[in-house]
Amino acid sequence: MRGYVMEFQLKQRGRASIDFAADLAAIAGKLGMAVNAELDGLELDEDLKIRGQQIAEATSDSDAHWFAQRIGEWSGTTHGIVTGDAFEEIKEDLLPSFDALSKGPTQIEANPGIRYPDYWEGVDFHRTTGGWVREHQGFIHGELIHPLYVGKNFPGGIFKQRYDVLAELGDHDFERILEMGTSSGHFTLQLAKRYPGAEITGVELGLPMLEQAQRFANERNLHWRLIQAPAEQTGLPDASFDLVASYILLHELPESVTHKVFAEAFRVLEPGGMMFMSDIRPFRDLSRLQEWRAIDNASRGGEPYWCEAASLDLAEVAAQAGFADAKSYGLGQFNYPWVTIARKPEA
Amino acid sequence: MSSSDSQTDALLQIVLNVVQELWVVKDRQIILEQVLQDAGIDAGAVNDYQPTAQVTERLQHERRRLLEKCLAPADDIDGAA
Repeated sequence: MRGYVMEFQLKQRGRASIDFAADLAAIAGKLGMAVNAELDGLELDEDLKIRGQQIAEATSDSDAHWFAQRIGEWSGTTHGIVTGDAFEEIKEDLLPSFDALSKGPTQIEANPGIRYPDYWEGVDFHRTTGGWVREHQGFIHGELIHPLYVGKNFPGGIFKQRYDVLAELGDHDFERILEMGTSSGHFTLQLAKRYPGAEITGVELGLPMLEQAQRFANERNLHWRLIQAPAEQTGLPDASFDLVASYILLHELPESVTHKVFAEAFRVLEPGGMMFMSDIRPFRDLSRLQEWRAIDNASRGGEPYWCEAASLDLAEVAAQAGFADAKSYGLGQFNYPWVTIARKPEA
Repeated sequence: MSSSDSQTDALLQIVLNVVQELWVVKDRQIILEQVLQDAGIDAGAVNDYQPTAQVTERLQHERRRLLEKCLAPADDIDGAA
């Protein structure tokens, strides 16, 4: 099969296991929608604790709720295991390609002595086994989990979404772009497509994720600067970029770190430069049932900072960091992604 | 089927459905590998086989049918599966 970056061939066991997990996750999702339909019309209290009790009572007799919770639990804990096992079955076949794609115009500035932030180290985000530091997690997440598991249940095109969102920046061209939270390079690639003349720098804590981003770039002969560093402390010079961007990074950060990330973006932007962050919908944009659903999903889905992130007014956080013209709004039919655009004032 | 007891009952039925389906497949696989070996074909080729679009579609159909059957004791599952 053709992955996002390279050709590879899963073995029978790995392929069948991933297909099964993806279909079962789809069923859990549909059962969740059935539960939503059952709860439709329920007058929910503003207080979250009371609301939780109301929903617990209303779903106590719901078979759809009972099965959705347990099937979702199985999918959540299993997807990282079956994709890791599928990778191990083909690992030896892939290593020569990994070696070849580590050579090229894009090189990684690894930081072997890096001290991971407390909020990040040891966290299995999305309940994916091993978090972002498991060896070869960039390939496992980027080439197996995303297209074969997530992509099957959240259609819409992960690349299309990431490219389309850049239309919010208008016709403005950018020359020096910093991406915060590069992960395996999905958004980086869209930045490179939209702004082909720009110098692109990406910072990311997980070295295995940067290795996959590097494969993306070298496979297309693109020159990116990839640095292993936290978004809140990039180590990059003051006023050295005209755009700082991220895509679904902020909800993986505690509130206090988001403030630091915006301050760091402000520091590295030149006067007049733009900050452009795309992320989850804030609670204030959700109905009481949607808010409860988001909190419930986050608590069971490896999203330890979702509630903090969804409670923030990012335009206000940007203004506090010194930005001007900060605005924050949702895109498309589902108000997703939620974008925050702000400008560093001229000196 | 609303009390936790009846849910546990349904869960046991699901598990048994899965075990039954698993055995049917294991039985077939053992027979198939023997048939292949008798015909002089290395059964290891199964592990490396890359499904065509047609086979992929057939697998998807069969996988979803299996899930529907296994999860049938959940009253609301029909529309979901």
